Amino acid sequence: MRLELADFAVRRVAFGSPTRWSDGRLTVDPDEFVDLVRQDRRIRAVTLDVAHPGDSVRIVNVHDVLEPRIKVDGPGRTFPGVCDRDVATVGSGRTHRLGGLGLVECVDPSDDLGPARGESRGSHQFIEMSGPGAVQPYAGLRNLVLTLSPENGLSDEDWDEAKRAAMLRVSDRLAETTLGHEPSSVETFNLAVDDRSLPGVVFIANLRSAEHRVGPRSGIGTAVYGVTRLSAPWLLHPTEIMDGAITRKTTWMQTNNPIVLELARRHGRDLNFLGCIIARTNWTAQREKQLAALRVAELAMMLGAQGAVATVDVRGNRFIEAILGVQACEQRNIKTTLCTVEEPNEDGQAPALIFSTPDIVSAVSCGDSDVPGPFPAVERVLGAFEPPAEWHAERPGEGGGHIARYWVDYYGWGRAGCVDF
Amino acid sequence: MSKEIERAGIPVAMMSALPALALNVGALRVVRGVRIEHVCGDPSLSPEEDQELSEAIVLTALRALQTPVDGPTLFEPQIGREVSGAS
Repeated sequence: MRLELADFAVRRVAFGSPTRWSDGRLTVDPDEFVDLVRQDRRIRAVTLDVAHPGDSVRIVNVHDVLEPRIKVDGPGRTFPGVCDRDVATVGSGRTHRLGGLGLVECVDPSDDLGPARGESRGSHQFIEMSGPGAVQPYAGLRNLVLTLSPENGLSDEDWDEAKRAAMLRVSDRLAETTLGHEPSSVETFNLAVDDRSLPGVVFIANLRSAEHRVGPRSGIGTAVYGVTRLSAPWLLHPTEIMDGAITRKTTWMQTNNPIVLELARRHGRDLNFLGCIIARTNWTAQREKQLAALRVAELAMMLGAQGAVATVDVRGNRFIEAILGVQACEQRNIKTTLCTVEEPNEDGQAPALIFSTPDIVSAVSCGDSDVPGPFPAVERVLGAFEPPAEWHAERPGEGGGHIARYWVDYYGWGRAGCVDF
Repeated sequence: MSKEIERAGIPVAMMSALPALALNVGALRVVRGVRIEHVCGDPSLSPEEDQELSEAIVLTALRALQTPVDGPTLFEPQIGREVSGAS
């Protein structure tokens, strides 16, 4: 599989007409995008805002961030499978990306109190665009912020589908502006090379499923080709991930996963990148967790892996299958490095990992999610139609507690500080 | 929590769907439960079987409370069938 990823870097976003990309400047016609979003009448209202790095801006009620990408050659569509999009295998041919642009999905909190809270509604994530809180990678993006609100009486499922489909319409339209232009740069990933003299490496991502809360056929939550349910592990080409095969929490983080990108860049040079094993988590009985972990290791073995890098996107009980997966790999002599955040240390009383085994011999800490404040008062608050005054005010720093998570560095961006050991 | 209560001198039996985690963090008496969603029962069973399962788990917890232990110890509910979440 071979993918050319052509970057049309965005350095500035401004409102104007017509919508176009030109030499790093993205012009967005707000009326066009309001109409595009409200094609679906399940969306009652939408506003658009722009935030740049360093702005005195706080973006609240963030549900997802995505980077617009579009396929210009090769099968399939970007972000396949979600919202009835084609499920054809992506990851080959040529893809255009609007690098440096964040398309931020916010939901006005007034109508946002459904039972699937935390998965589709009621997200409390916020982004500081400047100051000590500007450690999320999104703070380095030029963000086009869409704040949405649903029509009354929608089910969680309907609302989730409506807002996601709307964001993808916007993403597609923005990415289309690159057609006919020369990219800022092109990166080529040729995975057809298979040099078995180099060490074989797999990437293992443990990604949460909300099946225990929303059932197996829901569209809510992190999806692989649109499928959110618990399943045996998926095997993906890294370029499929770059084309958006994994969506949500956040979609931007998936397509820009630094581990996937770095392993793919080093493929054929100093390692043989055999593929990405996507394990779904939130199994709710211990034997299921053990089985899921064993299947991950077996798959890595069958691929010929000698090494693995593993990540996990949740804390709590789901961490168990991630650790068991690392253990199962190590027991098969696959050298495995776990890349993870640490638990809050509770003044030295709590272990760094909620669960571990002596087999875990290599780990990279992505910090404990503590972000010292205070976060200064901001001039603008985006992500709510009428943000309450307290969102403008100075805020204390954010601790890495289990519930209040301002920024959890799952994949090692390292902007909040990290230590290797 | 169970460790803190133990520290105050009160024995604790912890019923857990994930006994490996409970043992790992140092809980002394861990009783294998069913699933995270329903630790002490199983809605897929008939009411009679569910009752039997619940009783087995609770009685195992009571037995655990009366058993001296030296360190983290797993107690398996003794019933005619395996705890269904483990199957």
